[in-house]
Amino acid sequence: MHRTHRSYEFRLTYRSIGAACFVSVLYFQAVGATFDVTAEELIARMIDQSRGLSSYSELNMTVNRPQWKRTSSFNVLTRGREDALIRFTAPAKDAGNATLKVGDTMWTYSPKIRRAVRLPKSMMSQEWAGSDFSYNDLARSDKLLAYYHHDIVDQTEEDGLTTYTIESIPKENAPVVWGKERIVFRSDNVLLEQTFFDQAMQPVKTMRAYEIQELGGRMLARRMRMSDLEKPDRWTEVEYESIEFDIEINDRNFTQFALRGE
Amino acid sequence: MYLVLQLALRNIWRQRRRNGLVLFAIVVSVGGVFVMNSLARGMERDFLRFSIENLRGHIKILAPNQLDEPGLRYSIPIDTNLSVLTRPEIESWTPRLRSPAVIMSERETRGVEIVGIDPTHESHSFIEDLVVDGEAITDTEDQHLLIGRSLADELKTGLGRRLVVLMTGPDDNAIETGFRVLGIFESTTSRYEDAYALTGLSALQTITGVAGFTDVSVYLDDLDATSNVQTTLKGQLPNLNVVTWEQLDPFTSEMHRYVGFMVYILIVVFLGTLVFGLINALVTAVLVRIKEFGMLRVVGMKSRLVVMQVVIECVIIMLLALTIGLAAGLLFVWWIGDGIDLSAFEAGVEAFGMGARMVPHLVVDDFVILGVASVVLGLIASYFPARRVIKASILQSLRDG
Repeated sequence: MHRTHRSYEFRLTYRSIGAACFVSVLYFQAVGATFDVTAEELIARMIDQSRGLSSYSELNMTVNRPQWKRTSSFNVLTRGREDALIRFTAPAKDAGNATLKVGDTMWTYSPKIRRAVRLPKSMMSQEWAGSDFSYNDLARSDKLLAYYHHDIVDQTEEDGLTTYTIESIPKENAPVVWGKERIVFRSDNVLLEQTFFDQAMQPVKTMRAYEIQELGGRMLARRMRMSDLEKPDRWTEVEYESIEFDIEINDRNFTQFALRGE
Repeated sequence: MYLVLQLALRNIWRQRRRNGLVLFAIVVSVGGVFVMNSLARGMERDFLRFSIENLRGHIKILAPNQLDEPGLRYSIPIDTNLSVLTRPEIESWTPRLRSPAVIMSERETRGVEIVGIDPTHESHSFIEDLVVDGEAITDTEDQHLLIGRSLADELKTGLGRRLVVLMTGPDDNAIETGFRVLGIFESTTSRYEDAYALTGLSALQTITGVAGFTDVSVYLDDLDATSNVQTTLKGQLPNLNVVTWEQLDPFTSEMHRYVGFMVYILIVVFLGTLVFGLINALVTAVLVRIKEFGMLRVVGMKSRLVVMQVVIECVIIMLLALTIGLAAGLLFVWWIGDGIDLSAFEAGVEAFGMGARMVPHLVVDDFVILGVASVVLGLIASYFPARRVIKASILQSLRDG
């Protein structure tokens, strides 16, 4: 009798330990869910950063090539995530050149020919204004969410900020030429680096952020450099002179009249 | 009669050097014409072949307006009754869905035509003869790309890599899809390798949302039946545009006709030259022998036989030269049988609608014409000089010769 009682007691203890373990697993899972994020959420946050925003910024762009280097200036007016009007102000030769993006469609305007040209989709992968950015890079949209699988491959903590390294691999039949993209994103919503790999997983081009600081009331990289990793002398750097968020925007600014500067 | 033949042979042998030279001249020109003719016929065949196998066919059935605006906007509905194409003159037919497209790799962007094919029907276009590295398109559901070697090199891509294809859809919408390259083909000319990206017909229909075809190529047994079949099909498919390869490719069609005609010009020029040379040689030969012919007439040979003797001599030389000339030409054509390599001028000759190899092609009819015409001309060419002999009186010939 005594014997059976003891064994019962033992069983009870065993069960309670099991139960405790189970509860703690649940607990840690719950904790993990509150503190951790999925890669998809991070990407969505990165994209949503500019959703519903309007902004006006002035930028300088430096295009570097083995034989020459050229700096131009332009200003950008954005409305939400989809619409933008970019107009060059310097050098004098390029002043007035403008690009308008409304939704998926893009137009360019050149005062020399006084014509606005709608860009065919097929041109979207071409370089924009002779830089290392393609029209697609400007027209960044939901593509990253729709066509890629994302994975957090690395995560580091520094000064209370978490830096995530996300590898994004395009889905089968996605209209994406890259083998993968590696995105380095900081938890205060700053994109630190984006690298494009070819399908042999060799890096082709990379965009890096420099001088991260508060601009217009937000944390932003003041300089972004896109470099061609296969031709080291080729890079383009964009630098913010100033930026203002949540400004009053007239819808008229996103019409073809505005594109022509009329 | 036998005597005349014997005399003619002996006479030929007696004047070995002169007759040898005449023989040699005819051999060279017959041989030359033979080679030129077979090359021209080869060109003619190339023009036709390239025009037809280049996804065209002898007859093409198109949606109305497709020629004005190639692409996916205008298509032949899938429920079109294509069973009218089962006719004795029609060897095969194949539906395709084609669209101009932009194709992108990590590093390059090119313009191509994307073609959805039904591999079981593709028996008469260049697609049939492709040398494929990797996987060919074997099913209409195959949703991978088969691209040309030179396009693959330009795009810096390879087997197993993904390419992005951009097309304008039927409603002017942009269609953007990733395709995996599972096959790379090599063809006889780089024009196919650069121009086309092939995939399965049903797969492309699904991607583009076009339930139908942009065109149907029809291949015939007999080139000459083209316009008859066109008329019949026009009546049976009133809502579609039925055109012949000549209407689609007037340049090649003109070149084809021009080369076909050029062959005869060549023969006429050759025979003209030959005939004057021959008359010249024979007139001299006959004049030298006036005394001899006079003597023959003195001993009683009928003037008809004298003329016949000269004519027979000439025809014998002609036949002999024709045989040797054709044999030499045949030997030469056999020697260049694989074609003359024009790849150094590839871009030029391809722009012209020809292949990079100039392959000779023999047409028996041409040689029958050539042979018969040379013998007939030999007869005519020798008859007139011979007549001069018998026109003169016997005494005069004996005295003058």
